[in-house]
Amino acid sequence: MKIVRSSYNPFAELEALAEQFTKVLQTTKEDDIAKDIAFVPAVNTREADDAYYIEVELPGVKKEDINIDIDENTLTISGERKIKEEHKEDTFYKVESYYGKFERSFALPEDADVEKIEAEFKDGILEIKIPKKVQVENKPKKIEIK
Amino acid sequence: MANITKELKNVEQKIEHGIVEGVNKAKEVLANVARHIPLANIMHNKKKDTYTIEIDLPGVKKEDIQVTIEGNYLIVSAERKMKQELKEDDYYLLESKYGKYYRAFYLSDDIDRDSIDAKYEDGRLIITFEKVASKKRKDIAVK
Repeated sequence: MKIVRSSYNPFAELEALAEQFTKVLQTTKEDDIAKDIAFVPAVNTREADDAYYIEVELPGVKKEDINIDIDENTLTISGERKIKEEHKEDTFYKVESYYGKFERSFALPEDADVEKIEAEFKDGILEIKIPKKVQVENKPKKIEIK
Repeated sequence: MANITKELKNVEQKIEHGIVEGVNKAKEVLANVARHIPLANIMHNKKKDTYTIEIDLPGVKKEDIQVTIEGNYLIVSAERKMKQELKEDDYYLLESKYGKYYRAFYLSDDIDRDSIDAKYEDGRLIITFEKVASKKRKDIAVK
């Protein structure tokens, strides 16, 4: 007679769940963790006749702590929300806002005029205006035969 | 048979219409109710004996913020309005919350209500209070 080891594991389900959880974390956040990203700011995007607009919510962030980079066709907004110098020694009773580094990237449309991108920071909203390239009219040209 | 399907379609349309109407009415009613709670940070500086409440209100105009003290509560209400002629439909992606914001904070007895100071800076409302004078930290020189 063989002694069959019971294969029953009361934690099997939990273990499977934990494994899945780690997997999800690894696949989606690997880049963010590597860059130490604390949060992803809220964004609104819209298109007007002559330009595209991106609005990024960045309350409490200083203008000088925001970077906008363009690499090929990707526009990346990154920076850091810091705790104000005057509050560094305070006791925090409640912290609901996100502090730390943030980053968000956007693929630029083909007709974006990268050279003319403008950005404005007001009331905690970063607004980026991406003008559309003025299309050169392709009028059919008739060549006369001499 | 054809009649039954027709009738069913009719009923379906009526129900759909009713739902849409109901949702629209609910939206109308809710438009006047504060729906959003802004994020807040509360801190206390032990050296200066000041309390600070920072409230995230990005994209809100200074004139659309109201700060009131009512009894033992500090009440902050605000409205985030859409820019000029823009509508929600004009956006491809809209993650911000527009509309009314409301939040109340309980003020304990050792907070001096008259010392309140409020300013709006970089999308944040910053409210500071001082401790009641008699309860302030005092350094006493030893003779």
